[in-house]
Amino acid sequence: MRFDSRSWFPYNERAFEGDYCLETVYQQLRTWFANAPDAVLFWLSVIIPILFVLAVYPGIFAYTTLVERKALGRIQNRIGPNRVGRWGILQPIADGLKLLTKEDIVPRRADHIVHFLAPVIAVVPAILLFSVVPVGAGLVPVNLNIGILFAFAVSTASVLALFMGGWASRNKFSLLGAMRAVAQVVSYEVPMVLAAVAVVMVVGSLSTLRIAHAQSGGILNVTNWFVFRPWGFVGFVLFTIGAMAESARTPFDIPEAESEIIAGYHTEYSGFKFALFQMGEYLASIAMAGITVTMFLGAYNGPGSGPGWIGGLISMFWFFIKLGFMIALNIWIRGTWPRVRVDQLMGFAWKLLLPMSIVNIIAVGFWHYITIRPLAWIITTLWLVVWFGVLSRLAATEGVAPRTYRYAS
Amino acid sequence: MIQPLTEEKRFTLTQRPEGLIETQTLEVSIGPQHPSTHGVFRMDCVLDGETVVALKPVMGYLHRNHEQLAERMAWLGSMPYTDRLDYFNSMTNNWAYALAVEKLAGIKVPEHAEYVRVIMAELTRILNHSCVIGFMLQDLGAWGTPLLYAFREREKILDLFEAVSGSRMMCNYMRFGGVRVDMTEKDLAVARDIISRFPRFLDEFEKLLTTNEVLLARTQRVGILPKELAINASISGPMARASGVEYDIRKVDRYGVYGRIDFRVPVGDIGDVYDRYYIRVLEMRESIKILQQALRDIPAGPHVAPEVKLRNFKIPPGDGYGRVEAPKGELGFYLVSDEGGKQPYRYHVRPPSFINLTTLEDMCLGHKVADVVIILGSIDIVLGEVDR
Amino acid sequence: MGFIGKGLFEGMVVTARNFVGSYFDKERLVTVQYPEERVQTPENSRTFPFLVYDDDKDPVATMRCVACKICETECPPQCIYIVMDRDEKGKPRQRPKVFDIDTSVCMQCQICVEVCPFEAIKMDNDYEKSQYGRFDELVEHLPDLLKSNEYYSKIKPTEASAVDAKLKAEKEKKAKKAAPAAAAKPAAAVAPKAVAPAPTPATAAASAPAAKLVIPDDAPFSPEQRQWLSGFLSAVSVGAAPATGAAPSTPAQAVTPPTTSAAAPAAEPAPTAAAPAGNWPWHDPGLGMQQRLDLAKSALLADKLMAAMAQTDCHACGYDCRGYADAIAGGAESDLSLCLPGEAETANMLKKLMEEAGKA
Repeated sequence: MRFDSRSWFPYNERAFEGDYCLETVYQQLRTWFANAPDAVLFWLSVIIPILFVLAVYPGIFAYTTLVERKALGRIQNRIGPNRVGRWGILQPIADGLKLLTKEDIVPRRADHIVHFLAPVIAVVPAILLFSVVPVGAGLVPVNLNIGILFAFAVSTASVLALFMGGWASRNKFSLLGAMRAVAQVVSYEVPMVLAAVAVVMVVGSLSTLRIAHAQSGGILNVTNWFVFRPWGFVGFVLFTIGAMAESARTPFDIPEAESEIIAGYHTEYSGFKFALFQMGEYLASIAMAGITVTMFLGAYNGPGSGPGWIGGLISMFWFFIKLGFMIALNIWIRGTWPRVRVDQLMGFAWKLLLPMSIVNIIAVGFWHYITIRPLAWIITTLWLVVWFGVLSRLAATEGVAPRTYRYAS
Repeated sequence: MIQPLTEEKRFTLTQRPEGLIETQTLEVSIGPQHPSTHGVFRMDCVLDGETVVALKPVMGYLHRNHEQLAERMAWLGSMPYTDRLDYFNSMTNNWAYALAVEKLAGIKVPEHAEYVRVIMAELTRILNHSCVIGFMLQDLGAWGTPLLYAFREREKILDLFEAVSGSRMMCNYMRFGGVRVDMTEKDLAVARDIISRFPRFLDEFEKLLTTNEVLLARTQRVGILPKELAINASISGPMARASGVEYDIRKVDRYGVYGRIDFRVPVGDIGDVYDRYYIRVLEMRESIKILQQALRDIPAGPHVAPEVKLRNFKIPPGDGYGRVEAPKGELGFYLVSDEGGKQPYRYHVRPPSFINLTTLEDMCLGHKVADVVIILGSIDIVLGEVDR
Repeated sequence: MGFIGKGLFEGMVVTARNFVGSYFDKERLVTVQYPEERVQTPENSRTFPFLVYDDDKDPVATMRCVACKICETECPPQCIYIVMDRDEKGKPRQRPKVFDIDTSVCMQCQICVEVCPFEAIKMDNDYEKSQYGRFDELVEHLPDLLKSNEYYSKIKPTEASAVDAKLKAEKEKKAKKAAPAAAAKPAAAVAPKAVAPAPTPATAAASAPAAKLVIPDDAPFSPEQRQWLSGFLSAVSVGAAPATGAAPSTPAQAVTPPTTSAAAPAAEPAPTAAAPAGNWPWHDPGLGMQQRLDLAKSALLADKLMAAMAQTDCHACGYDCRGYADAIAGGAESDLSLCLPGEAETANMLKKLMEEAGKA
């Protein structure tokens, strides 16, 4: 697919004909309230996207916690929470209220300022991440032309929160947890970013809207999704693994490995600060899921999505469906796999994922420059498969294999 | 053999091999309140970064004076207390004590009762092994899924225990010379039903776990117990068999009717955590075989030796040691009877978990903190037994 | 980390199957939503003990417990506390005044049920017993512990019907033995001392030792002798002797309720409403210790020993009262403290008597 961005998208304007970009809320409001003062419309156009993000995504977070508990319960042959409201619908509200009314315990020798700021720094970057995720055709809270770069910069900022939490608690276990968390998050940034680079190379822009639009078209708006390309599939896997590690989800939930170091960096937190940590973690995972969807799963594209009101609504629907799928995948994996150990995690990141992501970038190069489509497919796929085999053999821990056993005589 | 650190060495700086960086060791106490120490158990670890340099297990938080209590009660009176030793498997504890007393008093157990005892013991073995694997995976981080599958099966067996003996866990079922009440035909049919479904559950369990790469990476080559050390430290049970020691009391002593039942004993070679996990899976399969044979061959007959009195039961002076292959290892009771003969003069329990725990430090040295928890899980301890 | 994530994938399939199956398959959703749904506990399930009574109109009078204190002794954590009910004159009634079970101590081991000779204490299966306090609220006292036989049959039908059948059989056996003796016996006659006929039956008995000794109907004994003899034989042949000729109940001093049935196959107890008529005038639990000893001023040591005991025939010692006395006198039993209802008073008196006998 040849893609020349310059002919299609002028800088910072509407993505395509007839879209309703939230950044152009100002212009839309102007058409509706032609006589209103400028300042009012300006501030409204700033506040509405913020309200949108603040209303929708924490709500998704709240119900993700419920869905996760019920889904884990069903996987484990039990019903999840179902006492608070029918099917447990009011459970997140109950949890929030409970955590709000809990006593806020701060260890006497803890560093109070850092202790206070750590949860805040955990949550804010996660919310900021949502501002570049397009939820519908042309609908993104902030249309940055450096969207992906912004996303990675902001997600890295949340690493600080882990370390601040662990340090400020003055607790050996927390410190252990914090050190492990930082090591993990930092190592998984690299293959994640490099996997995203592949997508950026193809699209030619860092803007999330353009990445989304690049995946439209094709049969039913589906076949152009990057996940259906060889390099896109590998990139998707790499990015998903990186995203799970970034937000400390199982199998990478070492920062809060309950069974070893109780709760890691948030051991000493209670009440709403703890809730904020949880919120930060879940929001980060939802946001990274959102970015994965944007970059690989076609963002809002699906049958029926397109410009206009109806198309816009349908595209929003598709986006949330895909987001739900990614969250469900996270929950499914959480319910199934045990945790990896911290040094194995590092080995995995540096020895397998990082080389694989570099190989992926080269594969994109092949894809771009081989003009005959079928040949491009074959060569790229072969390249990726061969390198995967080589790297996994090299990175494999020795002696790890199923065994057979003998019986005593 | 790695020497454990003495007190002075604990707080000194550890020198890196190249002598470049001097770091400090961190002394951490894992437990006694900890989600994964299987009870109130403490481990004083000295860590160099993440690696364990020294480890001292501290036990005794659950000490309940079991042995002393038995000295003031009649022989039968300490039978309910043996339930609470290894509170996970009460039937084998009861059997070990009953066996010791029967040896001392020279009581012969009727055939039917022996078969019932074997059935109960093997059911206990199944439920213990499946839950131990579940707990180990819980420690590994699989949030409860294998554990709850194991508990689902355990519930069925516990329901059977309740129907037969009256209580799910603290069964108090064995008596000197047999069992307290008989297993009716209905109970035997329930047992057969449970066993017919169990292999399917085991297959599903194995599919979930045995070839899981994360599990393999986490448990292989971790916590290796060499065969020499296992023998020297008198390790018993699946832990010893995983290290290559071919010793199973059911085959050696042939107590009960094990002499007549055909089953194999799986033995591992390396003795790491994965071996211990997989030996338990194989043992579960063997237990199913034993159960099928026992349920098929069970004869009719009395369920308890009629000459044994419940009250004023006196044993001639002497001493004796009776042991069984409990799911955790060799559970033995050493009893001394004196002139009066109505109470034990000395009553000592040889708990497998306690003895198996003595090798914890040797297995953990050089591994990471995360491995300590898994190694502890694979030893399969129950604090009721360790501390009595 | 491995070549292909095959194991990982298989694991995911298993969990997916469980997830989907939990909506359709009963096996895969095992939650029982308590308290709306409850698991039906099996019949044998046991939680805490309770006392059985037979008649709803007067639970206290018809309860089967005779306060023999065997359960108190045998209880491993010692959670039972019993005080025998005595009337105004200090005469013990065959029932407990105080029967406390501390449910916070009770191990639910069921040993009290196994050792009770009178089928009086049984295990309940009620598990919803939480209280608002931790100490006194958890101690169950006598009125709460009494539950009817109908309740027992409801919660444990098989067990209850077996117990009922056993009790009925014993009562019938006792009634059969009581009938001929009552017909042959004149009422309210002061019994001649059992000293004179004692030696003859003793030798006769000694020459015929057996487990089951039945005195033939045409044997030349008077009814008093017959009664004494069968008692003696039952003591000698521990475990399977026939019933004594039951002393008829006389109007005098019928104190106890008639439900003290012995579960052991040893000698059927002389009904505790025994009158001074018969060979054992002291065999009345209503008499005090000194009164009994005065009545038993015979040369026979066994009589004096028997008089020192509590006269309940509860088999706490493993025999009935006569049997225990004979065993001590004969040397078969050396433990003098087995009489549980008699407590320390009996033990001390037995010791004194034995010392006197040893000196004599």
